[in-house]
Amino acid sequence: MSTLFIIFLVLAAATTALFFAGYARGVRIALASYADDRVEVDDSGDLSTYWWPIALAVLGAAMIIALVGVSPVFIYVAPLLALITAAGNGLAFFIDDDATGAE
Amino acid sequence: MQKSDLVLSPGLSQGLGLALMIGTGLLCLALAYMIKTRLVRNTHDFIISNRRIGLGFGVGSIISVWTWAMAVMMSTAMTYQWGLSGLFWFVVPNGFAVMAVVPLAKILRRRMPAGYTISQFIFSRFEQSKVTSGVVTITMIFGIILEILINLKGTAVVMSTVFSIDWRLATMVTVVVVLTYSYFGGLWTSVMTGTLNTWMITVPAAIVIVAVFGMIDGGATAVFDTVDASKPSNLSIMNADAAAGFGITLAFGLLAATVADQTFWQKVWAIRPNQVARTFLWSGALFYPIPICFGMLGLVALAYGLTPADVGGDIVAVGPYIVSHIGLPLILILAYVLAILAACYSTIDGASSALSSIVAVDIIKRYAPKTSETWLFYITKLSVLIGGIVAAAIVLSGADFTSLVLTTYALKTSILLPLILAIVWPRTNTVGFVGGIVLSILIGMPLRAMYGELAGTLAIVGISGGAVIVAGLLSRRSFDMNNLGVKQAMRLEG
Repeated sequence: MSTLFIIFLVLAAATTALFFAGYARGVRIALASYADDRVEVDDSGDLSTYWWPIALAVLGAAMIIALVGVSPVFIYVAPLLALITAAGNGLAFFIDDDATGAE
Repeated sequence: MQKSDLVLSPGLSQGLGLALMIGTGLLCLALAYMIKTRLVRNTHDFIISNRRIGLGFGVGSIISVWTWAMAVMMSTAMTYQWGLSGLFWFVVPNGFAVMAVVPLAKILRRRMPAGYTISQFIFSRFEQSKVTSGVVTITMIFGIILEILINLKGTAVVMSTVFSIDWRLATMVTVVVVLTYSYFGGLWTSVMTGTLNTWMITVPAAIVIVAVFGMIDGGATAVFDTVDASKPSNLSIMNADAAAGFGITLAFGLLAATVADQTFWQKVWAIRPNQVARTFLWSGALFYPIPICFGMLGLVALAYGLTPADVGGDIVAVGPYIVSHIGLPLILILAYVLAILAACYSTIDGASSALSSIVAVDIIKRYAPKTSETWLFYITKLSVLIGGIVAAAIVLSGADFTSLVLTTYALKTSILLPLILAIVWPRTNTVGFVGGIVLSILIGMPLRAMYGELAGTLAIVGISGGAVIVAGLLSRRSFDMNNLGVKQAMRLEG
């Protein structure tokens, strides 16, 4: 088992812990608030605030693929980013400004 | 690196493959049962989750529903076929297509806060025109059925390649497994199992890809050098052939696959309003790493000099072939299969849930409005089963995977611009909307057949959008979008 593989296993374990901690929080909130019939409003800001993040995401993806063709090191960036996807999903449960305040 | 080094790993029995398929389904079924008993009270909960889905489940479910066999296996196949240019043109429009929903979702969620389906919006938008909404409803149902059958086909490809399971058996097991758990909890089941599937796709994918390169003497450097030595253009994203060959067509098709797909609109109306835009932004951005990660297997296939014949003729099988033949430990091969199963299951599940919302709102409530809640609930759940069975029957008839994908996208492209214009341009009218869709299909599809994908797609997009604009300019009428939410939005729950 290579050092790189072990590093990825450790990162995967940490990502998994974050993901399931978030998932558990999400389930608790869903159970606590599913019958809440309050009407919420969209106060998530103007549409213009989304253009830059969208552009950055698209450019970032394009750049990473291009960099794979520059150096073999960037081949390993791909699985690293896949772990970031799982971690990001877990994180999303925590930064959601849950309307019920349930914990 | 010689392709003769690639030998099928031992221990990949049919029983193991079937156990993996059924075991994953049982896990989802247990979750679905909990959801059914705790979160689903009526049709409203079943199809829209009482509009209580938050950012975490929203992001997880959208990523998993968008990660179908296309993203998992075709990212490898496109890299194998076109090099990094193929990966570039496959991946970049993919994530963007999800984020492109953001502006449209914000407009509709604000204007029509109690909506359920995009066909319902069209019905309200075009003065209760059953023709217009019927066209959209049929397009949505058609798209959903194709979505399900493409993913059934994807599961069949991977299970037959890795475990030598007969593809017909794999198709039947998949449809029974997914429909069983989808039947119970509706959208809540879809988002909770889908989010779990996002983990099952991403984490195993990362570990397996690193392990695959670890099996090769010299690792990523050896793969990189071999690909570079055999054909340097495979390491460039600037190959125009990939753009012309499939990239531009796919880009339009992917946009249509999100903007003109009830699977996504159902979530637009089910996610809490202040989280909708952020959910689609995060989902698109966090989706990107998945196909990029799986795309790396395409470079491995290129380095080994595999030919389509080596993998059974269908290049979609390149990824499963590499993983099952490079000598990985059994557990990692199973992890890869699990990732593909998760991708397929979640997409089928999401599509089935979207179909249930169309049946409830755009068919039953529109054409038989006096149907009781009890009957509506049963019919809605039954539609989940019927959609899956129809799709499975089509798959079992045997159809080419890649052609199927491109045909789906070409058809859905015809509705892309008319739908966007209906949301953002008040002068869009019924004549332009229906005329644009019909004309673009009547003219664009023959052009596609004669001059190829690119010309056909551009013609379809141009004609459909052009017809809407011309009809809108010729008419002086302008629709007041404020009428959508206040007067015409339906509330199933009464």
